[in-house]
Amino acid sequence: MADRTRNYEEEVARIEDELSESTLYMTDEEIVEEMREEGIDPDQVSDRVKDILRETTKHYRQRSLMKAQGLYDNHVAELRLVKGDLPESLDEQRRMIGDLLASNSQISGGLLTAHFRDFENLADEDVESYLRQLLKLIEMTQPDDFQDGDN
Amino acid sequence: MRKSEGTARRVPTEKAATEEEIIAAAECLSADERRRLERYARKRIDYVGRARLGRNWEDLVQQAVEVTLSGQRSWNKNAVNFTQHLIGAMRSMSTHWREQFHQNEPYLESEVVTVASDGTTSNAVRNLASAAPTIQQTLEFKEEIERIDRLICDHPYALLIVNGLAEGLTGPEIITILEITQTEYETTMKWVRRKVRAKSSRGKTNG
Repeated sequence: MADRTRNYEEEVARIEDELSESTLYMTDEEIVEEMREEGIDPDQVSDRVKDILRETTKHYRQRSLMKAQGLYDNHVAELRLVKGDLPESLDEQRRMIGDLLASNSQISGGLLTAHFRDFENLADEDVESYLRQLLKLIEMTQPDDFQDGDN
Repeated sequence: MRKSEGTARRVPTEKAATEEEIIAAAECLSADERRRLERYARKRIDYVGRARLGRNWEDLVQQAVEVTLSGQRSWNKNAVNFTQHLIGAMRSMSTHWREQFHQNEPYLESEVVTVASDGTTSNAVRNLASAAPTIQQTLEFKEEIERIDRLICDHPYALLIVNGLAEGLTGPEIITILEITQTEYETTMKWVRRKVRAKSSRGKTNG
């Protein structure tokens, strides 16, 4: 019969706890010897741990990339919600960029990136995206009362 | 006896290894270091016991790397090498698993869901057992204690050391009481490890 005053599970755990720490005292040779005595191939163990480390880092990086992609997609979706109808033709969109820059000196004077300064050389597929970003930038730099009044 | 207590959980940002440094260190581990990680992880899963909830040594290694990469447990590369850091992380996580199980604390789903290399997931909560051992389990733990005692009873210190540990004494306390050296203690523990390594009556299946 078991002694009801003793917690055998806890006693076993305390012993196992310290036995696990004995791994730290063992030499590399003792570890290999222990594996062989258990019928385990030390090279296979080494390879398996290598695989685990690689798979874990690979999956972590993939998750990071997916997270970054998600943030990018959200940003793009947000830009699509920028107020204002955009002209359909590329020429009109380019003209609108020029007009916006001309009428927003605070942006064209300092905040603007090289992309906008050189907007005439923008690739056709980038024009709409840059126009949306520019509208967003202008919206962000407007005083609150202006925005309220605008609404 | 804790050898790697330098692996502090809170590491100043400027001392914490970057993601690239962690990945590079994982790639550069030697075969001996990888084998030591496996040995340690297996023994920690033995320690976790019923609280393993379907998790095995591979899950423990994997989660140690994940918490390091995510910054939940930063690696102070100036204080300890990567192997020591992972061992510290595994010690901390396995202790937490066990304590959580026996205190009936709530689990985060992320703590018990494991993802295999092929992307399939398994939820250990499905295997959730009661924290209180059954009569059968209690008898098995008792038999395990008796089995260990039988195997080591001829050694001058081993039985005293193991009984001391079972009663909750720490390694340093036992060394002081028995008036033995650190080396004698470590040599004895390695001897005990060899003796009790044979598959126990509790039918360990830690993968």
